[in-house]
Amino acid sequence: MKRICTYFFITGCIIHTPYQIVAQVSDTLKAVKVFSKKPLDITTSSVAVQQLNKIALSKLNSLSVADAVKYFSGVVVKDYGGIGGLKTVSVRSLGANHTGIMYDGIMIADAQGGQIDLGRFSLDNIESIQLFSNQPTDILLPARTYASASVLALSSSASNINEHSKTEFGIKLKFGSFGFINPSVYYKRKINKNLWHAFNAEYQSAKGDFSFIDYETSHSKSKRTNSDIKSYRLEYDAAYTVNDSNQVKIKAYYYNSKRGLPGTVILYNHFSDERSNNENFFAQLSWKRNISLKSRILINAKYSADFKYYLDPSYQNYAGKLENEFHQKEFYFSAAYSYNIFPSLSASIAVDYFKSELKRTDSFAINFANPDRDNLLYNLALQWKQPHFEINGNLLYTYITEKVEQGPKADSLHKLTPAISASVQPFNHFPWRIRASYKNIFRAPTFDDLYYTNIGNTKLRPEYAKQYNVGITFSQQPAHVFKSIVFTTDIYYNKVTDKILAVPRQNLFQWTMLNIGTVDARGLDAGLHLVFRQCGQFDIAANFSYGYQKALDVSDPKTSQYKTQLPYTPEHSGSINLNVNYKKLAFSYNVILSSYRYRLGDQTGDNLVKGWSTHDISISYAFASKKYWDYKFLAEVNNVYNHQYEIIKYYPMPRFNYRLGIAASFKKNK
Amino acid sequence: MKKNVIKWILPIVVLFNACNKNNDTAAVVITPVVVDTVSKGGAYILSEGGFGANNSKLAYRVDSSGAFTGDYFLDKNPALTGGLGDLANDMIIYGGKIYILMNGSNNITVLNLATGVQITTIPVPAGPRYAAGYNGKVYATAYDGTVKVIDTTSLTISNSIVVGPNPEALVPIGNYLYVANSGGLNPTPDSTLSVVDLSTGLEIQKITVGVNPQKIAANSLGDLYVTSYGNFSSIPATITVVSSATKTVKATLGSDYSYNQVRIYNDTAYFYNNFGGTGTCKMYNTLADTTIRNEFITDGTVITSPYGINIDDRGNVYITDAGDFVSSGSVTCFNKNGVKKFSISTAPGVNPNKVVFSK
Repeated sequence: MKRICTYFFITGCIIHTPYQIVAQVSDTLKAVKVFSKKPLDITTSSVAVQQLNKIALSKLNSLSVADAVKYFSGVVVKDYGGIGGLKTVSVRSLGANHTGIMYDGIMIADAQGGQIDLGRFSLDNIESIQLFSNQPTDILLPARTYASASVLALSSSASNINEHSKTEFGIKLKFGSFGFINPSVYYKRKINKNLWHAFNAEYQSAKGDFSFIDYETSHSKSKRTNSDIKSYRLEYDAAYTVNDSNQVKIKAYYYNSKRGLPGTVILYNHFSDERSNNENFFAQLSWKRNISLKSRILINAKYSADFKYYLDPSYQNYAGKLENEFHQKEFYFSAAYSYNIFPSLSASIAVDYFKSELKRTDSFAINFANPDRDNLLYNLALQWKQPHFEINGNLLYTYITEKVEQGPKADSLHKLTPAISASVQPFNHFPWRIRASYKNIFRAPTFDDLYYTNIGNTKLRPEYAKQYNVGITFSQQPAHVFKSIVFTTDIYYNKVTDKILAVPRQNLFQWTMLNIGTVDARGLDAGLHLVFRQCGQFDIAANFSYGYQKALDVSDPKTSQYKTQLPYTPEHSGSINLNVNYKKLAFSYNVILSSYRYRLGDQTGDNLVKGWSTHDISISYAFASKKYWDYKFLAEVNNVYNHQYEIIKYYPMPRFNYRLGIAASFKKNK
Repeated sequence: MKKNVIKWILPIVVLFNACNKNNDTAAVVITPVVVDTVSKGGAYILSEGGFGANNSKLAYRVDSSGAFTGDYFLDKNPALTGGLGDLANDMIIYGGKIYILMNGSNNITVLNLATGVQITTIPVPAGPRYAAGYNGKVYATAYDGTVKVIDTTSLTISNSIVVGPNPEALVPIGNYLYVANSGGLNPTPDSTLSVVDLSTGLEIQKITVGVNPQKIAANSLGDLYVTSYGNFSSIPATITVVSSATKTVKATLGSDYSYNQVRIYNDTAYFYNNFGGTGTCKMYNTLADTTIRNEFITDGTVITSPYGINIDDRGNVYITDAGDFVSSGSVTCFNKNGVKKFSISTAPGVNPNKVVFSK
């Protein structure tokens, strides 16, 4: 049997839509193993979910997870431009701090700032990206998975076990505009029938010196400076399978980056020399076991260490430079147990404990709190699941308590928060389903919110997000024209209360964090995935997404921002993705669209950020040679109309640019 | 006269309206026409904008008609589509020119006072802060611990005087220049006033004042009122009185005078930017050393965040209001008795910080 998604596998027919993937997997898998990742059907899920799998990702001209997530609706990616620029994701106007990021089944956290830079996750080894409102609906999950408003689940290629090839090896090289070089290598080997391991390494380097139309006169060109990045990533995975119902996996991850921070383009002053270095390490263990036919356990453990360094080498202080050094550590342990009460009814309980530490080692360390937070989470979940009806409910209890080395500390907190979701197919013969969900969750103030020098406020309360969603889904394999039609649409209402915001006190030098924001967000997300019937040698598929968001600041009726759209939140956004395969050639045309936004609530011309669209083209040619080798050549042309645009005001985005790639993969079954 | 005013102002209002629609500006402010028969001049209002937001604005209001141009710089320099630049910190009129200190854009932008047209920009890579024109030269503090001496004919930097760290305001008196050394970018700020001998261009003395000194204003006796931020936590904002005659500290005002900004007109000091003092804008007699009243404003007008006070030569007090520091601010003009004469929005200007006057 063939592997479903080899690294550079190009199928004769496009298996692009999630539904097709589902069909494909269930056709080809011999038996569903308890530990294997179940493919997700976005139309039967009781919560709104969007996904991109390996093949879809390979057609998107995207370099990082942040680039790919722009194709989802309801998502605002704050992209500060260039490969090294910070990229964070806010889902349905809740703010980036409410998006939980999961990597191979375990949450990644940043207790300091609460936001993960998704530009750091290259698509090189990403097998799938799934974005869940609320949380995934599996019954056996760690408690922490329930603790965010939405979950962006990333799965690496190592999460996709291939039991059928003994040795796999691959090498890739991409290069392109602005000094971009990106080699990567992976190696996977089955040592014996129970044990396999895999290694993956990637290096990225770019000068990032793209040109943009200058802001001073609007007609000459300037070049972005100090926009370089050098980064590398190492990942090691191993899995020991005792039998079909008992498996232990381990993973170690290390990422290192050194980059310039080009900053805002300042009029008449393009000098920039600030630097940032990051190191992220984690090691995690996951043990899944069927105790009986009815009961299962899932044990997870993780240790992570992160280092952030910031340098301003021309800061006008005595030292002649400004340096920040922050070290974070986290110890995490989770145990979850599920039980099948009746064939349709399951219950689970999960207990998670994690400890987050932040330490400062720069010249400001002397006054810093060096906080240390204990988090204890209990989750109780129930699931009723039948082919035409599913309901999921859970109750999460969170206890957080803190210690500091000096100064005031935040109060401990106890919170009980619920979520419920259901999906029903009212008529057996009509492939329509209706879904509805509700979740109430909070995010605890981050260490920056609480303890940042002069700005932090230890009196902060958690920030709450309430989410309501109703949706309709449709999935069909008609006989004519289309091989598959998948349609989903959801409308939602979100309310954020006690939103934590930085507010100036007496002047612009002094800011403080306060729970003063309230956000009322209403929106619609829609997605349509079409696969056409094969026409001669042509396979055609098309994907469309559309998002509408009316996200209003309703904090204070006395201010001019009252009932204005949240900063950087377009009312309309969407994407189009058209794929054509002809023999060994694959062609994709990708469009992302966004309506205008304002950088602040005050809707003046100065704060206007114009609407934008990007049009990208990708062409690849793939072929197999001899017995073991597959090759792929790739050309990507981005922003073909050379459109100058910004996502964040005064952070110009690259105009026309290209990338070329070559990949070779080796697979041997013996 | 009145007819002329209306004829003059109508096209401006119409133009302004049209302009705003093109620019998607939300609020159009049409100010009531106040006919001031005494003055032919106007008020230049500088708005600092937000940090890194490139939205500094120079606005102009004609005294006689009240006609207001929100982006006077762009109006007079339409080829510079980006506008004035980032973080306009200070502005002076000297010798028929306007000097604008662009702290973010790292230059001093020089305009022709009569036409509003930009003559040049003088690069100050360390970021200029405050300026004073004196004896044919313009002195400007720069964050790298220097005072730049600008030749007002060639519009170039002719000398750089070393003072203390992160200097802020400066006042020339006699043959000396007094410079507040804030050291504000250090964990422990500075607390000195540099005395510079203008004939040699060298610092001759440092006078210890409050922690993190910012602003200086002088009265007719040559007494300098120096405000200091403190450290925002344990050390409060203070005002130190320094005699320029003896170059020693005369007095330190008490906790009722915890303000960070000061302006002196006719020997009356206006203290504002309250850090715990009594009153939003306090009036103080610098000759008698007594408080005149805790609130300059007597008609109940509310200024949310007083960000700059400037007084024209007729004693009209212009208080700029930064409001919430992110939306457009306003300027309110009061007569010397603290009664409001008029108020205008500085839109699109955010964080208005200085008003200067032409005659």
